[in-house]
Amino acid sequence: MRSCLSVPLNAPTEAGKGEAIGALKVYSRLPEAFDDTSENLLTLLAHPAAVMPANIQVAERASSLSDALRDALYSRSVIDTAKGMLMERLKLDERQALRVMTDHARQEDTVLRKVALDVPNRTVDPPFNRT
Amino acid sequence: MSPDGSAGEQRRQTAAAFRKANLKLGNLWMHYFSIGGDAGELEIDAYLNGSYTLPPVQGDLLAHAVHELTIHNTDGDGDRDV
Repeated sequence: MRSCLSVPLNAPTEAGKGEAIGALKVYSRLPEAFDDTSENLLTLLAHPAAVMPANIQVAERASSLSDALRDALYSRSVIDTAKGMLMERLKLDERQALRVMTDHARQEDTVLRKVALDVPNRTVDPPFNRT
Repeated sequence: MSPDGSAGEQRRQTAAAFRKANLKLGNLWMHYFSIGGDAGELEIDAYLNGSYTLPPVQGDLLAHAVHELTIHNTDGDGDRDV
């Protein structure tokens, strides 16, 4: 192999060229096989060639965002339920109930979601009612 | 988060911790949302930059979200790795 020409695959965006998501390369056995015309031609080809990998990247991003959202919604629901239990059980307002859980999380060096999962066991209840 | 501190002080502490930890706003919002936060990402941004006021519960949640992302090194999308 004696020559190589490489052009960027730019993700198409509404604003024009986006970030480079790869490269399109051609090789030749001949020395100095490529000139400016080759480069222009390959650049023209790179534009439609970038569409498919760019779409796959968008789809993958959407899928991982959807995983994150599902996870977040589950976590929200766990925490909201626990908050409601504390409000009812300890006669607290929303902010106070939340503070019982965040204080506990910090004391136990854990996260709010785990504390919320422990609320039904009454292990999170403070020894006194806060005001 | 100081239990009795003023809202302004809480905001300053949250914003300082957010900047110090070099967190991404999108990750912070997702984590804040995952623990029950209701404000949008733009509102969070404005709050951290001192041009928007959050209700007390939301301020507490945001402060705690920053704390969890900083201390527990979660990835901001619902602590799957905790």
